[in-house]
Amino acid sequence: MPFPSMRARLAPRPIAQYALALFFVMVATLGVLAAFVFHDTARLKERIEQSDEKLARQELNEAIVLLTQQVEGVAQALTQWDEARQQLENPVYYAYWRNSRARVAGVLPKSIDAVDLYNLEGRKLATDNPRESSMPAQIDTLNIRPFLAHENGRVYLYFFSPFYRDAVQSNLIGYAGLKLDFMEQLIQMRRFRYLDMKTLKLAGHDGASVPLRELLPALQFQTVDNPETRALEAIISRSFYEIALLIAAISLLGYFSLVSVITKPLRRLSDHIQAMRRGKGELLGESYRGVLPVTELENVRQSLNDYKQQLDDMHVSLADKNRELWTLAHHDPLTGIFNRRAFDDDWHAMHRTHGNSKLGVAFLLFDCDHFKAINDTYGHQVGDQVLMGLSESLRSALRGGDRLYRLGGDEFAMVLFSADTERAREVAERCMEHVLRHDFAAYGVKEPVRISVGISFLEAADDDALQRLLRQADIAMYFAKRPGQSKIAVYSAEMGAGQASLVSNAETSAVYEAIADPDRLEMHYQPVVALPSSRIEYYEALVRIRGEQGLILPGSIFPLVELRGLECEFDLAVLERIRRDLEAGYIPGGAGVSLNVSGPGIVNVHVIDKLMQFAPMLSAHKLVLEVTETALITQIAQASANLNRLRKEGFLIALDDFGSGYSSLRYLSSMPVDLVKFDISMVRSLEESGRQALFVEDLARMIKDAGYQLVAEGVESEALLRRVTALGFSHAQGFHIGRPAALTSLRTVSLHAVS
Amino acid sequence: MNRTPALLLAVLACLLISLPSFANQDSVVEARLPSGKVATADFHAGKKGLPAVLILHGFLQTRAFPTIASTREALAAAGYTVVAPTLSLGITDRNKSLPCEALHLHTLDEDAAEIAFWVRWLTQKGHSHIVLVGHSFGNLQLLGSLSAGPLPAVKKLLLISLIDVEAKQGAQQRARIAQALRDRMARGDYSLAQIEFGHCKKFVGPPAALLSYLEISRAAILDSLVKSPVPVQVIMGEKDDRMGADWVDKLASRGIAVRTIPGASHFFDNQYEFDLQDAVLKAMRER
Repeated sequence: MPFPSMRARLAPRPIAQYALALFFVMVATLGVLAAFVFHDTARLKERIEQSDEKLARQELNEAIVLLTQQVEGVAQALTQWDEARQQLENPVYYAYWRNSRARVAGVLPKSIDAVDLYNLEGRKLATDNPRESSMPAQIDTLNIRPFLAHENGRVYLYFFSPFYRDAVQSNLIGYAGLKLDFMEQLIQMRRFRYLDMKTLKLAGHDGASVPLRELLPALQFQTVDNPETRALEAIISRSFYEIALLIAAISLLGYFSLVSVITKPLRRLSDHIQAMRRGKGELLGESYRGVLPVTELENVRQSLNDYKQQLDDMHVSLADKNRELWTLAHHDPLTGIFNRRAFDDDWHAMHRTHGNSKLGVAFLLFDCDHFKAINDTYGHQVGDQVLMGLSESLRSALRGGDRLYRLGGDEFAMVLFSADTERAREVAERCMEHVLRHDFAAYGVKEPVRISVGISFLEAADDDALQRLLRQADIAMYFAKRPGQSKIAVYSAEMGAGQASLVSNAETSAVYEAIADPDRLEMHYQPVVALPSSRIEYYEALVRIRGEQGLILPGSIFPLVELRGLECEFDLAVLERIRRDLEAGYIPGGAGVSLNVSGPGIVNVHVIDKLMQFAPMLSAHKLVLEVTETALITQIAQASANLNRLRKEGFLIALDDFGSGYSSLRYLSSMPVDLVKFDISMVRSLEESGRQALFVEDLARMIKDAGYQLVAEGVESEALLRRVTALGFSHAQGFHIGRPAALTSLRTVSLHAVS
Repeated sequence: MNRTPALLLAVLACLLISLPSFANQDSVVEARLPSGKVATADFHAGKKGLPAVLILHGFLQTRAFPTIASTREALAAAGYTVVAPTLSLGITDRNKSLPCEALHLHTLDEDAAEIAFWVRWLTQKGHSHIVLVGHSFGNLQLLGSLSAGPLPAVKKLLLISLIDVEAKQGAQQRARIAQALRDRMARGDYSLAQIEFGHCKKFVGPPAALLSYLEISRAAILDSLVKSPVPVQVIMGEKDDRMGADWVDKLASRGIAVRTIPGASHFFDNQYEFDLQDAVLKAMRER
């Protein structure tokens, strides 16, 4: 609509206004109709009056003509009357004849008021008293045209006719004159339909005369009130009033009907819709007949009710769905505990509730050790059962008011408010005990299921502290999982520093640069001596990156590499660096090199191809590939195939960090492994006396008996060296033997030369 | 059948041929009387050798009166030359009967003079044998004209329904009225008088004019008939109510030839019209 004002005028109006407008429109229409009718009636009346006047004039004219003809007839009869002729020839007794005989002879009608005969000179035959005859004594023989004259309030016609002796009118002998009351005769002559004779009058004063031929224009008259006009007017008026009354009645009836049938129900419907919009709609109440009188409105009412009912049902359903959705959105479908979203909502709600109050907040992050291996070993169904078992055992360890969240995967978390690290640790230990007590073997899992707990703590829980807590707990978790750790780690600043590389842009850049340019890598080689000779048999290549602020150690490198999924790329770079070192002859001849390959690397074709580049060096150097047992289990088939291929080439395969992760003797037997490197924690346990030392001893003995060479890591004392030697370890590695050193300071002497 | 159309055609031709002749024989004559008045008469020119007839109407009537008109036509049809004047009675070109109530300014003498005029008119036309035929009071006017002076051409007088002036008014009554008129005249009162005269209940005129008619008595009529210089024949209707019961006898006793037509009235209307015509024609044939 182009015109805003028109749009404004056409804005919605209450239907009552429309009904009223309709009513007034009908009334206005009626008024207009009335005006037209009255106007037309007036015009019709005027036309009829004009017609009547015309007809009256015509009537009058006809009457005048007729009367004139009658008078002419009388005059002719008079002039043909023998006795009249007699008087003209012998007027001796004219007076008697005129006054007596002429009036009674029957020749002149009674309408003739006076008659006189005139001689050829126009002089009346008898000079008499004007009271005896009102005819003029003398007439103008040259102008004997009839005329009318006012006399004493009456109008008389004076008619004069030439008097001939014969029928052929060849012999004029005189004139005859007649007088009659013209108006009276007109009245008596005929009934006038249009002319009101009572109003007929001749213009002029008493004594004035009008020639007969000029009579009509000089006559004034009014027309008879036309009964047909009056009747027609009455009929029209009555008809109009009847129609008006009918229209008014119909209008009123229509208005009230409209109000009753449409306006009120519509208003009620509108109110109902408005209530529905405000959310307070009730079902429409029904009319006294139970339904609305108009089918369409009743349909609307029923539709509204149905819609409202459906809306209510939908609201209920939506509410239920919302609750269900909220529940689904805030609960982990597998374990039934709260999920990450619930965790975030609760955190924010806690912050809104407690604001900036100083509440100590401890965040506990639980993570299942080697869950992926369990999932892969026993399948996802068992894996889910393990997660549910973990959830159940953790919940059983918590108080009723504490909430356990599954953050994802095998990570669980909980938040302790107004708590300190000690309490957090107590809770963590209780959780660990409950997990240890849970019978995971019922799910078919033969290996122990353990968790690691990372704890972070804040004095005050700011709204943005959540990520910090998470990150710190994650860092603590990372430390808790490291071999030799107690599985429960509370975050400290030192941990943060060590993990700073995770968020350090410089270290990230260094890693990427090293991947791109292996020369940026600096390999430090730690000797691995053969036992009991303590002769350096090979060096384990340990990677460092020379950064701007010094060496970047594996503790900073590998988390980043693992975080960014750069295991294969980093392996390739390290292998290239080592290959170059070998090619450059930095490794003393005869000495071997052990190459650490990541789990993804051992199954990566590019890494395998890279390793195959070392094949030509096998004749000069003993090359040992160290892979972790986790890496092997991950894709054991492909890993085994690749290792078998490499063994065929002459590589030795060493199972690294045996005992730090998922130690499965069943897998060890099927793995293409030549050396088993006992994890630092297992080796150090030999320094203790206890069940674990015995276990390690038995394990070492068993593995050795199985034909594997054992390598002891983390030998940091002579006693330990002797111990492992006594146990039959074939090789040993550790600070006591030699620290990792750059090529420039690579030790080549035997163990005894180590200071 | 084929002859009928031819016969009809022949008759039509004869009629057409005869019509102009008829048309030429009948005319209306207009004559100025010695009095200056103009009088008119119907004239039919009849056969030569036959007498001409002057037929006169009754009192105050005209020639158009049926008795006169039918008798005239019969006479014309018989071949007689007929003139049927309408007495002016003092009115120029009178063509309607004069009512009793009219002003009667005419006198018997003027009537007689007018009749004489018409006789002379016939004479001037070459008719020397004239029969005067009259009806009712017209007979008295014919007698008056004969009495007024010689009319040698008049050879016969045929009077139809000769009126008995004393049938309605007795002689005494008439005499009394006449005397009254004379007395008025003697007084110099010449104003109009109104009398009862004959069938006129109201007869208005100057005394002299009235007297001219009142002075006609039965005796005078009988005397005139006897003294008529020409043969007189009277035709009366048996039922004539304008005569005394002895009127016919009185006439007959005076040696007047009277022929009475049984059943006929004063006017010989209806079928008596033909009886009258026969009687007139017969009388015309008689010498």
